[in-house]
Amino acid sequence: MSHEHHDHHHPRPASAVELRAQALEALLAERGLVSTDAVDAVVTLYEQDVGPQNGAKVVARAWVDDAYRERLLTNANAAIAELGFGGIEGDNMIVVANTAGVHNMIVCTLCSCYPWPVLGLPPTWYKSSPYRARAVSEPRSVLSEFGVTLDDDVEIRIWDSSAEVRYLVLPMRPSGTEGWTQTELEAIITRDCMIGTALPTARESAAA
Amino acid sequence: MTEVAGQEPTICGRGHHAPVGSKFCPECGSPVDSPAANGLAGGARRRLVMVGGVVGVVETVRGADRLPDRATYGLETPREPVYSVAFASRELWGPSDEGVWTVALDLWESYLEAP
Amino acid sequence: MSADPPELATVDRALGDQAPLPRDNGELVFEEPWQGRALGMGVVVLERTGAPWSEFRRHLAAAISAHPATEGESAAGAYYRCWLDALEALLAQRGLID
Repeated sequence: MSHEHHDHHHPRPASAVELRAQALEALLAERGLVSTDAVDAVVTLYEQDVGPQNGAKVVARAWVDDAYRERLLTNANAAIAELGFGGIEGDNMIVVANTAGVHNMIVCTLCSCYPWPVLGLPPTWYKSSPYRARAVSEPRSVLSEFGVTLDDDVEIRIWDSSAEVRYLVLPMRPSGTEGWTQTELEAIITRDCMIGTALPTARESAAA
Repeated sequence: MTEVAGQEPTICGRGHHAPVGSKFCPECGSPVDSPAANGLAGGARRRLVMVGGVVGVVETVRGADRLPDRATYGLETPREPVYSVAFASRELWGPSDEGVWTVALDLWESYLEAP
Repeated sequence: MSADPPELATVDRALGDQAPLPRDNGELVFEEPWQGRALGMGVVVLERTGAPWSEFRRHLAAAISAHPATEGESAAGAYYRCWLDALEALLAQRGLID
């Protein structure tokens, strides 16, 4: 989503800074301070960095596959592992589903526990004292600050990861996404949707 | 009734994981197989509990872990069930302009008292 | 023989809140390939020279402060430009390049 590789149908001249980077790498390679392979290895590893795209894949799959959704809500660890994700801080997962009547939000009031393997790095605001205190004591105000307004009759449920369990919100699939592929759906499932501070919308998908 | 995600059925009423298909938990002997028999229906589930003076409702068992305030220091402590306990906002903070909402915490059994 | 690159989380921790890697919704931002290469070069150089991240971070903070984003420059573009500045400064200070 954020670093799609551009189609180079029309070669364009390299920018000054790009030339500078290339020159530096050549110089450092000559001096034995880097090798192209080593730099490649770092770039490849970091580009594949766990970000919320893992969680987005889980959600998108649940949206298109009812049997998977059922497995996800019954045994999140196994269902998430089916897609190849998991690891420390992610081997005790519970997925909570938003419905028309219930909206879920997650917080860790004690510290800022977070499901790293599916959501990547926690956002700074999630770790902040104001969020941790206010998510449990005035959730509607917090949500409206995030731009989310819910009807009065929607029940809000805050999950505080006070023990080993890590929570992930399964948001509702928005209208206007009928017929979308899983890839297109993944592109509209943001990290905040899976924390519960945003709702996915059928804006034009980056993958469309 | 709100949708609450719980553990798969191979978990006994005390929160221990048992091999799939077992009738009784090898760790404590509690029945495993059916929701009614696993101790939640007549036992823990929907049990009102007090935590720090606030009343909450046990909704489901999450698993069983050692108390962190002992386990961290390597002190002997048996595993005890961890429950998901729901608290009404009114119980925690009194009436609010926002209406009512629920806060669910995962709590070790030692933290729970009878109301 | 090459060791595995350090985990990205290590780099994040080292850079801290002072000069965090550009991210969008939790994912690293690389608008152009040179930005990823700049990051890779920095990581490899530090591994090879044994220079601590604190040293690199100082140079990076200084570079950002001296040459912040110019008109029309993206946040990631400015950041990685400063990253190159910092890398060159570190290497020069250690006498490894001119």
